Amino acid sequence: MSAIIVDNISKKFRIPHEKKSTVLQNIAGLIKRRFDYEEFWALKEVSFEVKKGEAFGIIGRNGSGKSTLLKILARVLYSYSGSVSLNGKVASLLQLGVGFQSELTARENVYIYSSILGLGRKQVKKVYDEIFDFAELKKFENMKLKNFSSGMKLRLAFSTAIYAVPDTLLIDEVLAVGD
Amino acid sequence: MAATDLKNRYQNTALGFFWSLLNPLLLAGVLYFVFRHLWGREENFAINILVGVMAWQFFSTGTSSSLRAIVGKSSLVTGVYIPRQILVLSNVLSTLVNSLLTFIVLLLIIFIVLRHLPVTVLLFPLIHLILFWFIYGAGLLLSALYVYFRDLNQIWEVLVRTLFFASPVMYPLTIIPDYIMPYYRLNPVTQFIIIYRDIMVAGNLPSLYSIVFVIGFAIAAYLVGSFVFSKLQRRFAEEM
Repeated sequence: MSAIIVDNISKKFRIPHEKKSTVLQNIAGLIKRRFDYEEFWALKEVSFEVKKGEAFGIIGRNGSGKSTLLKILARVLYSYSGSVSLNGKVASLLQLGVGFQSELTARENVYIYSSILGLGRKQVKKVYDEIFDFAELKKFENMKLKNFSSGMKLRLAFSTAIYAVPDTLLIDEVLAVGD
Repeated sequence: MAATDLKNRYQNTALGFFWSLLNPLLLAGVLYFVFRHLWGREENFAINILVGVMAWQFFSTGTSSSLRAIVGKSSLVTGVYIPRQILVLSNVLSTLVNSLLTFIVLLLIIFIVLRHLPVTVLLFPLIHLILFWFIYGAGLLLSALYVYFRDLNQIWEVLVRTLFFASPVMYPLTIIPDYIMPYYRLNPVTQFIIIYRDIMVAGNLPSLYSIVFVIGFAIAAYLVGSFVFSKLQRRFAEEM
C-alpha cells in the first residue's frame, strides 16, 4: 500500500509588482489600473509515490521547490493543479513547535501541540512520560516555555511529534539544528 | 484551544476573570451617570443599560478578537494543517465563556434589584446561542478578509463604534423618531438588545418578527462567512 501518492501537481505563485495589503492600496490600484503580477512556477507536473515503510528524501538547490512540495503535502498550501493523496495520519514538522505558547508550561504545551497533531487528551496521557523521558526534560515539565533554551524547545517539540505516532512524518530542514 | 485562549488572556492577572467583568460594569456605570438625567425616569433604566452593555460587549469583543484569529496565529496557519475555522471558533468560544460568566453575574444583579427573575429568562440560552452563531459567522468573514486587507481592523473599529451609537445601548428606544424606526430596526445588534431586555428585564416574550430576524441574520452571516472563508483560506499561507 502506498502512503503518499502525488499525481502531477503544479504550484504557481503570484509575485505582484506592488504589494497591496490594505483596502486603500487596493482602491488606489484600481484607479491606477495596476493589477499586474508575474507568475512563478515553483512546481511543474511533479509525480511520485511513496510506499508504506519507505523513507523518502528530496534533495535540491535553493528555491527548487522542496519546501513548497512539503507544504502542499502537509495541506498548508494548495496545489494549482494535480492531486495529492495521503493515507493515514500525517504529522508535519515544517516549523518546530507550532502553536507553542511561551507563557504556558511545558506540560500544557505538550498537550496543545499533541492536539494540533491530532491526538486526544487520553492518548497523550498514555505517552506523556515517554515524551518527557525521550526529550530528557522531566525536570522542567512545569517550567514556562519562555524560559526554555531553543535546544530544549526543539527536543520537546520533536519528541512530542514522534509520539503522536503518525503514519507519515513530514520533516523539513527543522532537524538541521537538533542534537 | 479555547481553554488555552482563556488561560493566556488571564495569565499573571490574579484578578483574572474579575477584570472582564469590571470592564462592562464600569462602562455601564459611566453611561448611567452621564445619561440618568436625560432618561433616568425610564423604567429600569440602569438595568437596561447593563443588559445592553453586556450584550454589546459580547458582540464587539467577539468580532474584534476573531478578526485577528488567523493573522495572530500565523504559525498555526503556515506550519501545520488544522481546519482553520477552528482558530476562529476557539476565539469566539472563549469570548462566549467570558460573556456567559458576565451574564450570570448580571442575572444576580437583576434578581437583587427587581427581587424576582422573569420566567422568560429561560429563553436566554437560545438567544445567546443565536448571537454566538452570528458572531462566529461575522468572525469567519472578518478574519479571512483581514489576511488580505490589513487595514480592516481600523475600518472595523470605526464600524463597530458607529454601530454602538446606532444601537440602543445607552439610550431608550423611545427616542428614535418613528420615520427612522424601520431602518433602525434593521441593525441586528439592536434586535438582539431588544430581545435581551424583553426576556431578562421586562419579562415579555420577544416578538416573532425579532426572533425570525435575528435567526435569519445569524444564518446569513454564517453562510456568507464560511463560504468566503473556505474560498480565501486556500491562499492564507501564501499571504502571511
